[in-house]
Amino acid sequence: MFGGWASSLAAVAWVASAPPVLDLPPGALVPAAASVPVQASPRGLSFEVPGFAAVVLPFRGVHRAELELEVEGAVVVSWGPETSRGSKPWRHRRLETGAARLELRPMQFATWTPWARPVLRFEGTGRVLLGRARIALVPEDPAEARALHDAEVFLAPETVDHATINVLVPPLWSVNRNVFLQEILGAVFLAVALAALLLLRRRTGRWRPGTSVAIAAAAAVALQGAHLAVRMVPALHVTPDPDPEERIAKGYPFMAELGELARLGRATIGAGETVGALARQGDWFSGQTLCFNLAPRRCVVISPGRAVHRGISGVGEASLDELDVIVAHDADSPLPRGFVRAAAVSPRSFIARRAR
Amino acid sequence: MIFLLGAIAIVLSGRALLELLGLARRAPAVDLALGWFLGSGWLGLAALVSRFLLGVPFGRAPAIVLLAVPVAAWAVLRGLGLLRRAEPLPAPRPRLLPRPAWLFVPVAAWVVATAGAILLHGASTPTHTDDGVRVRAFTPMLAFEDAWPPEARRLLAIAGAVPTFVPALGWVLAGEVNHFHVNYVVLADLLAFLALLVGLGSRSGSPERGWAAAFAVLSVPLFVYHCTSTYQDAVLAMFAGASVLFLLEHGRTGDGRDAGLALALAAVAALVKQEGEIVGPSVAAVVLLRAWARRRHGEALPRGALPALAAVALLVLAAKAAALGWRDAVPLLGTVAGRAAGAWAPAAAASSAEALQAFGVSLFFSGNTGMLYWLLPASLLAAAPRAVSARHGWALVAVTILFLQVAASSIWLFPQYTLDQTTVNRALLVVSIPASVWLADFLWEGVAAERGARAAPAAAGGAGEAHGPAG
Repeated sequence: MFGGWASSLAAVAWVASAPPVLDLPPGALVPAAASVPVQASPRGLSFEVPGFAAVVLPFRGVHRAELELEVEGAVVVSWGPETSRGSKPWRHRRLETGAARLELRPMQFATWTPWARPVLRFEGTGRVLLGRARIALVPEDPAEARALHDAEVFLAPETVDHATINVLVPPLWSVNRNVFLQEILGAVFLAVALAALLLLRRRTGRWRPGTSVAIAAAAAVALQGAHLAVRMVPALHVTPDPDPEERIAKGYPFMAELGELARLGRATIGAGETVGALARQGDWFSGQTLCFNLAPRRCVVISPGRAVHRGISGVGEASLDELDVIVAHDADSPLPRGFVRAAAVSPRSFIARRAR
Repeated sequence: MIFLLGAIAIVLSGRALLELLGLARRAPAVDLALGWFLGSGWLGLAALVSRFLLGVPFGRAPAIVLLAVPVAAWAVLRGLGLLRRAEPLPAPRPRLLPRPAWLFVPVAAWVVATAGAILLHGASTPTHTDDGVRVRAFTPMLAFEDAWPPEARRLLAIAGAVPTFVPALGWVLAGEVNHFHVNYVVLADLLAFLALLVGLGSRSGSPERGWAAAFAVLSVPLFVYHCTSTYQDAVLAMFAGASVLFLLEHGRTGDGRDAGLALALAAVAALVKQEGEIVGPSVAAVVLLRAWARRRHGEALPRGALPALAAVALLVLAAKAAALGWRDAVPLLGTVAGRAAGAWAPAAAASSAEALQAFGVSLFFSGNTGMLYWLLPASLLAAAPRAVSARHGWALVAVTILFLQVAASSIWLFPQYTLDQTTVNRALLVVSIPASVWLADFLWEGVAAERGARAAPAAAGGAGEAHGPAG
């Protein structure tokens, strides 16, 4: 066990101190694959994000990558090793027009393998320029690489998204040996309880099991709390913002345009108007969340092909004829006849009104 | 600002209820927290009954009247001299600061920092937690609109009266919706709960117990996250935890007023989520059983507690029957009965054996419950006789019943949601929070007893401290 501790601590120190190994000037980082056409220029590689774009970096065994980006529009970029699709933690960041520096740590994924290349997945609408890149590779020694992988997973920040409410990412002490933090802390608890029992006996001449168990429990809970703090603090939004509209606009960092679209709707749709929310088929979240943020306006989630559409959780209904406004977010079905775009966050996130 | 005004009205109403019921503790932090809890419960109950039993729409004037009723009743009864001021409990001198400082300064710092992070994140984040079926913060919107088609009434049954009507108070007072009020209510519940834990410990001369309990509940990781959301699982857990806290207090003081508070908080828990309809009565049943078992020791319930409890239960049942029909008045009971009768079965892919394994993972390894389910059995093993004493035993029975309910639900009733980990972890909150309160009390009591035993010979038979040592 203590060998594991030592190697993990060594890996943590390595993580903190290891300098980037490869420094690639703009344009030198040629993707191994991309889902959209990529154009090279002296400033770097640029590509359009027409709703979705994926770029595979050309390196295997990446420990850490720092990328300089310039973005026009609003996109959410998520990243991970090729093996990470659909698995937690979901690493993502919302980027708006301007320069940004992105730090990728593919080893924070339990599914990481030395052969998996990092993938960037962009959602939203805009243009991205990929500039300078710095790439640190994993150690060549497999044992050292495994220890580093264990440390990266152990200290990875929690992912906050719409499913976090159900389950937090399990804290793994060693992803490669499948040892949970709780097992280690259980052992710590027993060891501290025993040590406290013997020490207190020696100091006071009495057996004090209650005090010993309490000391051990406090130690175990404190260690677990410290780990929780390390994981949660980066994931929490702790900058106060007095304006509720701003909080709604910025409050969906895992979706590129949803918050801004909700703000636009709240600003432009009248209290007495009837709204239809139109989203991509299978996207259960956007339509309901738009209706929620537009409440108390009458709102239904549009189900293409149906005559009558229903509100949140099936409460309330309206036909297309009754709608005054449609709020569309990344919809894959056409705008119903008779509606024209009136205001937009982007080409795929907009508000349409009945044509006069 | 309007939220703050609404909150003050709720606290005043709840505070008046405390006086009417003779349950005030005469400790500002405790009475403030209890005022918020009982006022929330009163608003939920009164709005449910007035809307669905009496047919009075929920709006600004009715909400003001409902909140004013306890205050007016208190003022009238007091003016007529019919309200006896409750005798203060015989208790040791209140003590604010826990000792030793080297231990409790970091504990208090953790509690304050965690609560601060929850407040900031919770107040900053719009609702983005959804399970695809319902938006949890939606029923207050229905209360605000006062539109109750059958689908909306079904949602009310799922969410419960307190989560439906309390967040809507500010909206009906102001005439407009600020979505964040739903977040604020959960955060206010957390602040009240922490104030109750710490304040009650300080009031009874043992601030260590209170800080230990606050530390314990804020060390349950999923609870910490839930308090930043608009889900109500953490809220139900806090009401259940507060009820168990007073059950423990009743074990310590033997004063019927503590049992009365445990019952009152269990009644409020019954108004949070459909699960509350089973959780609240379960804890209340243990309180009643304890009072009956200990009646010869002078630990009876306050006069009128039983009729009041029965009246609340009947009113809730009648109001829900009026809203939903008798058949659906307690939907969870119908679900359990249907499963027991074989009327329906869980998804074919989900077996109870697999669910049992997944339940174990949730308890011990997933990290959602922290170290609680490791420490609880170990602590019980280390001091089994004390765990079943009159002081701690009844509260342990309540926690065990809650655990068995969640286990039955997770393994037998809905194994599919245990296998995919969608509901099991948040269902466990209603066990984890009362269990954390119990464990903190139990562990600190063990330390205090051993220190007291050491101090007793030194004091050469001097007056021992009934409530633990001062230092």
